[in-house]
Amino acid sequence: MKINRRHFLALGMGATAGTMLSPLPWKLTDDASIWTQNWAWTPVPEIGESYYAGGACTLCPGGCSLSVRKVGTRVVKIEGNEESPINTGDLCGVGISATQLLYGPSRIEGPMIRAGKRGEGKWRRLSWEGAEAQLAEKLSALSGSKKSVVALSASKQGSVALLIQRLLAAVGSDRFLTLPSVHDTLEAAMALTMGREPGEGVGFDTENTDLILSLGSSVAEGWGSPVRMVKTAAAKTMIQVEPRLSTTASMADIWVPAKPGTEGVFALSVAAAMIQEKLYDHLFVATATEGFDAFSAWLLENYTPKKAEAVTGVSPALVKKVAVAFAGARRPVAICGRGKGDTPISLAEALSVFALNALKGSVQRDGGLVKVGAIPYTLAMAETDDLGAKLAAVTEKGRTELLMDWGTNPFYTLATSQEAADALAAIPTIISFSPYMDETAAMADLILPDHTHLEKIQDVPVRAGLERPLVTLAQPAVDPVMTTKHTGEMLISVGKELDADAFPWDDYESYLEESCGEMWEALSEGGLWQGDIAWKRGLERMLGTSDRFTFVIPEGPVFLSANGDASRYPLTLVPRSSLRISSGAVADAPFTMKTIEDTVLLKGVSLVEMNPVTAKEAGLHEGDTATLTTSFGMVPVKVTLFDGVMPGVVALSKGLGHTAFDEYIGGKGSSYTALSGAMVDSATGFNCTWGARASLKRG
Amino acid sequence: MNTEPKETRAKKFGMVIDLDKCTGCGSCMVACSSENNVPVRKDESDKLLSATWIRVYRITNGKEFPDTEICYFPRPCMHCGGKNDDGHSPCVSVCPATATDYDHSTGIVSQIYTRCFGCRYCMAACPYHARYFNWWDPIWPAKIEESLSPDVSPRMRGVVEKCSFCFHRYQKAKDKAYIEERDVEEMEYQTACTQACPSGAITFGDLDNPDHAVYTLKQDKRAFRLLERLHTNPKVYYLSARSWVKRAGDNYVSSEEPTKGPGAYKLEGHGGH
Repeated sequence: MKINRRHFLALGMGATAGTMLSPLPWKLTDDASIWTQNWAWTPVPEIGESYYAGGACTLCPGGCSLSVRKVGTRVVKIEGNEESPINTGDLCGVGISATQLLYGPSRIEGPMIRAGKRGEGKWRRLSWEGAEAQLAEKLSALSGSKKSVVALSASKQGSVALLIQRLLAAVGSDRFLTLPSVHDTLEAAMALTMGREPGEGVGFDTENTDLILSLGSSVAEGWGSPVRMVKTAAAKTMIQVEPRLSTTASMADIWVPAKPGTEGVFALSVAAAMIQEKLYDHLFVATATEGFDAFSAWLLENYTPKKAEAVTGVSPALVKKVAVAFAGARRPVAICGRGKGDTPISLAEALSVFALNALKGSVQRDGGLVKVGAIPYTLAMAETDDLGAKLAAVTEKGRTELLMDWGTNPFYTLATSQEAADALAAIPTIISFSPYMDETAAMADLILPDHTHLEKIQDVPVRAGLERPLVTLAQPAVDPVMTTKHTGEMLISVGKELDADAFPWDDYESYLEESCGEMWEALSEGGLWQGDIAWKRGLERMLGTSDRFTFVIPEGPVFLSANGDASRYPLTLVPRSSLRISSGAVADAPFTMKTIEDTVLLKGVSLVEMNPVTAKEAGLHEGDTATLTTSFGMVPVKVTLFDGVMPGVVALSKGLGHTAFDEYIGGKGSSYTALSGAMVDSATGFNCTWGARASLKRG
Repeated sequence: MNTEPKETRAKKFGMVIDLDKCTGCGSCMVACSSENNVPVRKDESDKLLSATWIRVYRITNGKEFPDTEICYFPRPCMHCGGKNDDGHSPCVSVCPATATDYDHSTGIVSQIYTRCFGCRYCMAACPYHARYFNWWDPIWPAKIEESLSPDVSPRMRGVVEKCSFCFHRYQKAKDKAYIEERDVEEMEYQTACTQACPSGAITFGDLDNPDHAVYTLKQDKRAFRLLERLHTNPKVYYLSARSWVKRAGDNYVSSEEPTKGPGAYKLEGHGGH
């Protein structure tokens, strides 16, 4: 028999069919996975008892309560606490990802002293006794100018804040500082219009409001208490004023694209329109306010919708539409503080917003702008006078001899220009209490690392524009992962060395209980204390209140203009906020980095958003590499085109560009803050920067 | 009408996502990653390699300033049932190793890592880019390994992974219900993303059970699914009152565009999964 090509083919096909009918292919695929997937190094997480521990998040001012899921002794997941009136079982990505901060490579192992050059990353480990002795020694060694000691605190009130203030007092300094926010201006405005006792705050009863007029606030992207505000954004009628189509603007019923920084002027034009059209609450204005006549005359002279248009670029017709909507709502409220509210606004702008609310009677009532009672700590703290000026002094050369940082990371948050960064770096002694190797810890001379919020017990006073005072309790869900020590404990121990009378407590826990006083029962049982609302409801309110609202004519400018030469810097840079990026002291954990869109950060480079029209004029295209320059600094970026950003405006995400931490979260993109510079409000001394003049050049 | 008693009747778990409520906060993505031990990389901004079982996309209506609108699109695995829910999902049909399979009792498309040998046919077949491949062994830096959950197997290099509708949560709830001799309650089995969503945009439950919220929501006139014309029969429904968003649920190349106009929407980003 002759074997031809056909036989070969038939044999081949027969073999294939035969093999396919046998179990061989299935055995082979199975074996392939056995031989290629089963590695000894693939982790097998240990099993154990599964249960939940309580806690409080401190990664932003929002005041969310946590349910920390544990397996055995390990923390495996963070969820929102269902009992919390703030976050009712939900939580933002930054809060959830804190498991990776807890166990991550950015943690500082224990107390350390600098061994190499500053910022070089060479350290020598110390014992806690040794580290505390070093701190006490550095503080007592300060000669002469005691006022040259600065302490920055993550919280304005609370048990640890008081200890920091007492430690400063022990060395004769009154420079107890906190990062400024819109609340600092709001409180100053409240003092002028409604009166204010120490400790009182400003809140917005957004739960009971039916319309929110947001003057640049990122309601859906992190303003106030983020989780609660996201719910609000999804549920309420909203009018959003800002130059870029943010998520909040997109969800709003009316978007008012006012020119950057002019939100306050827009608020005044709405107020003027309400007076012109007689849309304001006559009864409230007549019975419960003072100074209306002078204020309205001033307003109609300077801020009619027509006059304001020259500044804001918003047509009088749109102003009137907003005025009608605001006046027509039952319980509207105007809120302010651009972005997440983590930058102050000018006092004049805050007064404008107060006046707008008062014209509608939305002051001290359900759904309005309200006074928030002081938190009843038993041990009183003094409020820092001239906070604005004192903060500015931190970034001026030669004004500070020793800086202590508890959770504010000034080398990132206050370094708004190269000059400011240089001034910080020139401070002779820097001491960090951060649990993470943040920018400030990296530049420190001595680190006494605190526990993270998952490892310690501590009161967390919430300052996020809620309608009532509220304190949550951080609780140790897990034993300290590193050789860290509670900053409260450490301060008591060091304080005793300097002034034993000011630190009479044996340990932090007994001090905490004493300090919380009447709140302790609720805090220790439910992890949360909330006070009463400080306004009257319904008929009671109508029947007379002795508290009157005073219309105050602002003295300083409502609109702070951006510095810089328009021909050299033809564009205006504004920040972009996102709940996916923690723009505070601590960087995003790896899980949160994962969520950042590729129109924000791509292969480690920040993208700057610009309108296609602006891009065309500048000869730039999607994906181009460019350099973004302001008079305060320059950074490499890529260009992304977005129709929703106002022509002439470019937007850069805030919160990226950390230089310290670890390879997973540091060195990603560029910091908006470092380019934003200063716009000082003469009335308060705060840096109210909302943006900067900028140029964008290819290459 | 299915007359089988509730306890033994096959479930069809699904999700309804209200796009008019979604603020794109990304909480779902983080909750999912933490719940399911999703690997992290040093550079998560390289989207070709970054794994996110649920990914939130942003689309715009493509109109000029100031008429622009945006919408966020969370995309988990669609758990396609195939035509008539016969289990012929695009990925299941092509998997040579039976590593991914359609569970007729829950409607969930499984992924068994130790059975997968990394051919990635399923990734090519999936029209939703819901699947991710581990090119390298996941590295858990410092002590992050401590935070891994024992409920979900950590992956190894060479395997594909994807959203499981938090199936381990169903297993736990089912075990508990079995001991107590009852059926799993609606709120007992919820995915991690649903639980974390601050705006309440995500609803999860049994699409066939009239007592579950998703049953009513999927019949809403605002409801649509992604790429319905492919007949993949996804179990994730979206809600939007905006016509351009609904329109974006099916994408067309420009020559096939039924309106013959320019694209009604624009997907942002630079590709990847």
